[in-house]
Amino acid sequence: MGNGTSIGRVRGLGSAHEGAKHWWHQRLTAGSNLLLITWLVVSLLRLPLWNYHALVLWLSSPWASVPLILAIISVFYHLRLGLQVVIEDYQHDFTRVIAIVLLNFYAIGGAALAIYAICKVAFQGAIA
Amino acid sequence: MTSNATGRLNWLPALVLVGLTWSFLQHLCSGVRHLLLDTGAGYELKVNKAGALATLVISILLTLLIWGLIFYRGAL
Repeated sequence: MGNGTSIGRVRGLGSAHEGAKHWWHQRLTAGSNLLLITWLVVSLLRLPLWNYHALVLWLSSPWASVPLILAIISVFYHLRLGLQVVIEDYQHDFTRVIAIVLLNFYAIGGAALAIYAICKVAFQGAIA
Repeated sequence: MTSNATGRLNWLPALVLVGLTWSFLQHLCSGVRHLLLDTGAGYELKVNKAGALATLVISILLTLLIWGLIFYRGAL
């Protein structure tokens, strides 16, 4: 690469040099997922009651809502990274671009909706 | 998802939730196994296979533990 025509140079660019960051962030979010979801499961199992008001009371505390928001960010970022690899491995034509754009929309949109829902409960509390 | 009469989970949503719990825990155990493999450990065939089987055993045990607790609390 680098010696031929301009199109040849473009085609020979090789790695985008983002792979190592992608790989590391996948592992990093795997670790944060492990911590945050373990916290979530243990917290839910330790609740004295599992009805609507008990859950709202639990989520009103910043000690529950803040880690839950962190868990949402961590899980959706991990999901985005993982499914990006699936698309890159199995989608070979131009549809991979569409798939990756849709994946980004889904990951960011899903996380935004979840964080909004958590904030609504945390700030507003129980309805009636 | 819960019965109006008893407040317990109905069987169909309970089955879906148990399935989701197991598939999540299988992903978790597999992920931890791969984090260990990333350190370069466990590539001998027998060790590798034992690790793969261990993820299945541990994910099933954790699923049973979680849903056992929920059943014990009377929500299932």
